[in-house]
Amino acid sequence: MKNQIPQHRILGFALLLILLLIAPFNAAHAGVVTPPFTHCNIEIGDAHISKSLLRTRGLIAVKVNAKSQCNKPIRSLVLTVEIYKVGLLYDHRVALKEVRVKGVVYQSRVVKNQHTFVKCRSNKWTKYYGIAHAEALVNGQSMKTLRVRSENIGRFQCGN
Amino acid sequence: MNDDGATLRDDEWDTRYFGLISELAVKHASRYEVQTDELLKKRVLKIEFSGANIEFKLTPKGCWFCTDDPQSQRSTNSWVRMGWGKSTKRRSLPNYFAEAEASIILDQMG
Repeated sequence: MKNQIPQHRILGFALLLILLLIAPFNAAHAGVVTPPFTHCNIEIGDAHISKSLLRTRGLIAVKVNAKSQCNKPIRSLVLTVEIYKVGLLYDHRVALKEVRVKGVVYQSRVVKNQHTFVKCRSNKWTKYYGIAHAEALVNGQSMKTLRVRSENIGRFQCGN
Repeated sequence: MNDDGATLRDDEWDTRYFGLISELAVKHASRYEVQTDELLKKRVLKIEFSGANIEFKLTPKGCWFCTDDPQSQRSTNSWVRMGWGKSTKRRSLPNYFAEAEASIILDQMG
């Protein structure tokens, strides 16, 4: 006597197996997404030639600005801006400025780092960009942002 | 204030900042010359300005400064590339001293 399994049962079993395999990728079965702990962010601008330095002193300098904002009160904020020039083999850091705020920075208050610049020493065309990062105590915990890079690379007649 | 989206440019602030550096560089030119000689010789220099302490340190390619001001909520650390040579450092240092002192003044203003 042959022990045969009906075809419709095999088909049903296969369908069940496929459904079980697909289930973890279904959005409805995905894990609960937790919102971020804070809405703190930093923003960095593109490298640019400072107009006021050129106007007032006739000097050419590349400048990069950054700002930080947080929806919670934070302490001991350090906002760092670095200027890099694009090199042949690797990029070279040409300036760094850290602005440190000792006490509390109240929620939603913008802290700016506008001090970072480097003077040009020749007329050689060079590409520049900035990198910003920050760290602070949020609810007593030390938190660091990722390193954020300028959206665009600026090319200026500014050798260094 | 002329805030520009892509560069976060603030021309008014820049004019004040660079104006202050320029003013200090002229006003304290002779002191900065003495400081330059001392820093190039000793590689580390500590000065007091407007009640704040500033420490300068030479590195092979540039110079650091760190400010510590008990009167202010802010302090600034900085490094700038000046080049390997002593002569390029000698040219750049007077303005760097002015830059450090301008940072102290601006930090004290808030």
